[in-house]
Amino acid sequence: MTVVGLGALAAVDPSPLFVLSLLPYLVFLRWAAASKRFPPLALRGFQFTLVFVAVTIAAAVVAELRFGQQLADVDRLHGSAEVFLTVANLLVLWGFSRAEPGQEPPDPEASTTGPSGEQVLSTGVEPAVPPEDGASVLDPE
Amino acid sequence: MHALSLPTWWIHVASVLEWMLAMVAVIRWGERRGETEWRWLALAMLPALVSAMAACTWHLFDNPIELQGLVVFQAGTTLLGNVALAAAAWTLLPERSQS
Repeated sequence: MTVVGLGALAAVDPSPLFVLSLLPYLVFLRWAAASKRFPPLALRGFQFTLVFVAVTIAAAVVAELRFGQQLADVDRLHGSAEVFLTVANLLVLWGFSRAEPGQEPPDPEASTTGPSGEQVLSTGVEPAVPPEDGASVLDPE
Repeated sequence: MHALSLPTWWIHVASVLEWMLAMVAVIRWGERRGETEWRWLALAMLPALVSAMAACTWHLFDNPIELQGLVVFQAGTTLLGNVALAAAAWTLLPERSQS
């Protein structure tokens, strides 16, 4: 069954699907930015994925024109293009994990009182490191 | 599995691992903030992971034309995943009801 399904799928041209998928992604980026709730670095990562897409398209063209092969079969080009996705995903991962929960000690009850709570969230940019506690550990003096 | 050199394989594996960890990071991020809607974003990241698995499977078999269906499947899950991401971002929009 699944093999038959896969075979039937093979008759479909994937290119329009890939092109079409760009549209909802652009909408995603727009809403993600508009929400102003994403960690800035993570948002950069999601945006940088577009660079990966652009590089991949260019690399695919080069693979076709210069080597007469699909991109996945030209290892150097393939690997070089995929690095951009690795970087993009790393930024997303960093963005979401780096921001510490301690950066907004204002208790949840206070921020749930109204939509103004969103403003507080944007302080995620600055690492609000508590100086007192950390300093005593790190400073030899 | 020799269509891809070892470095190219590592690049692929790294991307996939990062994406999986990012999904976990999104859930944790939401938990830290007490905002459960971030779970939708993590869930919306799942189709892209499936898409990546399909691509890697295709690479594993040296990108054969016989498995072209995998590429189409990858394209479909990419489209689905991006729609899901957009929907998840929509739930994160502040004051949706007004705009």
